Amino acid sequence: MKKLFSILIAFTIAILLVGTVFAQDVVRIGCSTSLTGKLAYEGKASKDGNDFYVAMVNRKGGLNIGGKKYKIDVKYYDDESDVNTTTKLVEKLITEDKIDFIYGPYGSGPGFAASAITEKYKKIIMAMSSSRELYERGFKYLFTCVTPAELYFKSVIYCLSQQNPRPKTLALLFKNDLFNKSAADAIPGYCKENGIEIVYNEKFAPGASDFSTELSVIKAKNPDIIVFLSQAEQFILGAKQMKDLKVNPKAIVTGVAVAEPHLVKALGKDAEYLSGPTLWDPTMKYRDDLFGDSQDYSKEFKKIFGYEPSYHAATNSSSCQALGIAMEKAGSLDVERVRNAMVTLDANTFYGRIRFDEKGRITGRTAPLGQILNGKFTIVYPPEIAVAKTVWPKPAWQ
Amino acid sequence: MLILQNIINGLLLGGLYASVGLGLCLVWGVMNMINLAHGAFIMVGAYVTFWMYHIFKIDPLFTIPFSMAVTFLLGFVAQKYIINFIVKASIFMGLILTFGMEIFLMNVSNLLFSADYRSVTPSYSGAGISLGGILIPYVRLGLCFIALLLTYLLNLFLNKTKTGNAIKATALDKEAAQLVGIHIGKIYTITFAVSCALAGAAGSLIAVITAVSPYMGTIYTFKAALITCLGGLGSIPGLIAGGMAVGLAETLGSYFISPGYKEFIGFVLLVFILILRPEGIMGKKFFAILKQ
Amino acid sequence: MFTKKWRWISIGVGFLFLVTAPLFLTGYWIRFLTNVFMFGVMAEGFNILAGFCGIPSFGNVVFFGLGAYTTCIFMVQLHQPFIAGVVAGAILSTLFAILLGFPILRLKGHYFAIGTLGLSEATKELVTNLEKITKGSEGISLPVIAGNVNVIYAVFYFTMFGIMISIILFTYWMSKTRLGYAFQAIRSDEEAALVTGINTAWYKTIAWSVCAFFTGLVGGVYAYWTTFINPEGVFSVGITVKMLIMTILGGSGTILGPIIGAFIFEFLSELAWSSFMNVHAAFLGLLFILIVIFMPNGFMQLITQRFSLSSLIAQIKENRI
Repeated sequence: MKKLFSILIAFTIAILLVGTVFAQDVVRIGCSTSLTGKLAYEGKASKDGNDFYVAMVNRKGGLNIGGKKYKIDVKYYDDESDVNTTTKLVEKLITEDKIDFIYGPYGSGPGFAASAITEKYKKIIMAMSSSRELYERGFKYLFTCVTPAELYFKSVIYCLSQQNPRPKTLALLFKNDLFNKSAADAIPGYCKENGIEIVYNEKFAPGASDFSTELSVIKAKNPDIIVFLSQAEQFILGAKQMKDLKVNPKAIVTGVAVAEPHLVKALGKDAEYLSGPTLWDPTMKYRDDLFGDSQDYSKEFKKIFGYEPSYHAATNSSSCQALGIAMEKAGSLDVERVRNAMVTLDANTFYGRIRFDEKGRITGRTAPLGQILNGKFTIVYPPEIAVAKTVWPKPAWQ
Repeated sequence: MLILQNIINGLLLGGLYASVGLGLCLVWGVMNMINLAHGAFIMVGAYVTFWMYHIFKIDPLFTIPFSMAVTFLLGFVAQKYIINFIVKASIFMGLILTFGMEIFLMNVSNLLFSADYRSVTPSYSGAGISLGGILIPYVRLGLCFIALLLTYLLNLFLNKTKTGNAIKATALDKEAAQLVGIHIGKIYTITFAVSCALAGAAGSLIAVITAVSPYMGTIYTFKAALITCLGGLGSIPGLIAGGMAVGLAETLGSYFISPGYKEFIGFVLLVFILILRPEGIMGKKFFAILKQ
Repeated sequence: MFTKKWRWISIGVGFLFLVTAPLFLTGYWIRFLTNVFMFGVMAEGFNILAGFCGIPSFGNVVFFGLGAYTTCIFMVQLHQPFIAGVVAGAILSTLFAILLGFPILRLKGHYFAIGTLGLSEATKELVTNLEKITKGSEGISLPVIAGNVNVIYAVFYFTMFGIMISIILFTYWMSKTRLGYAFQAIRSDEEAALVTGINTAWYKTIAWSVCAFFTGLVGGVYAYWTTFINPEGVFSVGITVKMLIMTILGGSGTILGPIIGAFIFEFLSELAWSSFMNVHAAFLGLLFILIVIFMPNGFMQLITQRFSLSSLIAQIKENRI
């Protein structure tokens, strides 16, 4: 009995503490992200990206909104990589914690759910989702700095199609989830544009743990390019099985997982010559006043967090930055004014030029192609920002 | 030609599944409990191998005894101080408890090692035998070989040692075993610890095949349970048969139908076989009846 | 203190509180309670199946997912109103249960558990692959309802509450009739039940179908409430485990047990989230372990019997080896 009572009292106190009053002159931002569960890696990278931006801004005294200095405070919740939980937590952030803006969860599925809530309450959300479907709902308070998924392979296919000897065939195997499917569905179109024939186009279940059959079938068709689209975990397995089965196309392309540092660490020498698109790279030359250029960003990030940032962190930081710039431009925290500022935004940041189209997606961005050379992911296309030349054809597995 | 390669792929995959299922089958047959934390122990074994390879540059094969030792210890403690408390309770208690253990282990791993994906890529990864165009990777073959070795050793242990015989007796009839002086609690502890050691061994090899992460184990638990059901309890050859059956079904299913239907085919196969033979392909009849 | 009179009073107070809650609670807590009601219904359904009838199903989420997807397909593809979709979802789930009941219910014990788990995974895969109908991995997005947010939330709140009350009443009625006695007989000893003339296959199918009906119903409501569903989300094993744990926590085989279990579990999760952000998942795992060891008969036991340390120890000793 006594135990029950003390639990009840502790619980009541907990409820009361949930609605604490925040200090003055603070922009309250909320973020529900995946710190545990299947998306834990990407979720943590996203959080670090957000935290880095907030740290840099607060270091300068905060955002300058309408003449006053506002520090940023972010409240995080862990949604355990579960979409149902994301919905609940975003609602909690808005109604209980009374936040002003939302930094979106990582991933297209969670983003879908979260944005449905924020639109209801008319709160601006900086989504971290690239799939087109999210933005087809006519939402007004939804923005993203993530390159649209259907553009991820535009440069990739073009660049590879220009190589010598010209590729003629391509095999496509991708993970059947919202993001990978959005990116993969655009590939047949790009192949047609560039005169490449697709000889294999299949999707595998999200929980797949073996690709030997699919890769054997692909090998028998002898394509020039293989596109294996999934997150890092399954691509590691896929690459290993490609080596096992001696699958040697002229290029092995994957999605943005290729730019993640742990891929090279996991595959070692076998990671060499794998290629794929990326959203950001430390070698990019754009500058701004807050971060400097991408090299400065990378160095400072490593100082604070102890590891080299991947594009996840950079994309998150730039999302937060875009919102911050809009708040300063609007001169207020009022959601309509900030929204107008976002719609008309045209800013130059370390991430590049940031402008949004009428659906809230960033425009004018392409996804440069990179290849792992000498154990490091290096940009090989477009020529303006390339650091090395594409190695084509990919040497056979050693 | 391609079909032959895919049949080989299926058999190799079956070997992987069999190695994963070995421990689960043991626990299930003896203690009548499905260990939902099995995948977590596989994950622990994989991490042991990874860290030993990464820090001390030991070949993954030689890390197997170490990962088995670590998981044995972990399983021993888990059974003696946690699971033994609820063994006599209903079927759900075991399921929830082991599920709780799995969540706990996975998330502690996440906190300790972060969710970065790791893998072990030794110099010989990707090498293999080539028989007239059919490729058989060494690592996969090694996995099958180790699975068979472990099965043989387990068989020896169960049949030739006193403890092993005690375990078999407990599996057959708990009360009768107690009558001849077997301490059930100790037997359960040893059984569970051995099962976790087997999981650890499988994990070590899986670390070479695929990516290691805190949440990698869940899928293997399910597959292990699937093939144990299919192959039948109380029979280790049945387990291997079950593993091969599922491995072949998945690869050939992907080849003839579509890559997206693997789980579906596995499940249909399970239901089909269980309807025809409720005790599994080679299961002993008395294990099919649940004693509450 | 927990005498029968007090029990009825507390039920009455609780009921009154919940009915008037939308007037004074904010959006988040209304959502929270709606969620609790939803899980309460699913836990209660699971309880009928497993607590009363002894069928260890580990795949109930398949009905939830089917209900959700049917509702969405009805609304988006076939342009039917919401009510039609939800009812269709519940009916489809029930039919699915009856049809698949024949092969699956013949399995026993752990085999049945794995069989049902396989069922939910296979259905998830099937739904992901049938893109033309279900839009596969993209998920289905329902239109956001225009109007006052609080009113909309209140509507869903009372819908879930209504379904929860119906299943409680159904369970109460069932426990007092032949149906309930047949279930309990099957749970105690299926063969003996068969011998006394109970058509076990028939009754097991009824239990399975009733569970399917209610679970499918809330699945449909859930879809419209959240406006977005995808295969991973509505066929997730985690939902089944939650149902399981809530039933055990509250007390399986009792009438109000699963509902109470749903409340307690969600509150505890809530506390864990707010207090330990980084370790809350591990903490939850630990919680499962502790619940099973120290409260295997659930919370209801605390209420109906005198709670003392010695009885707790005796109970642990009983289960222990």
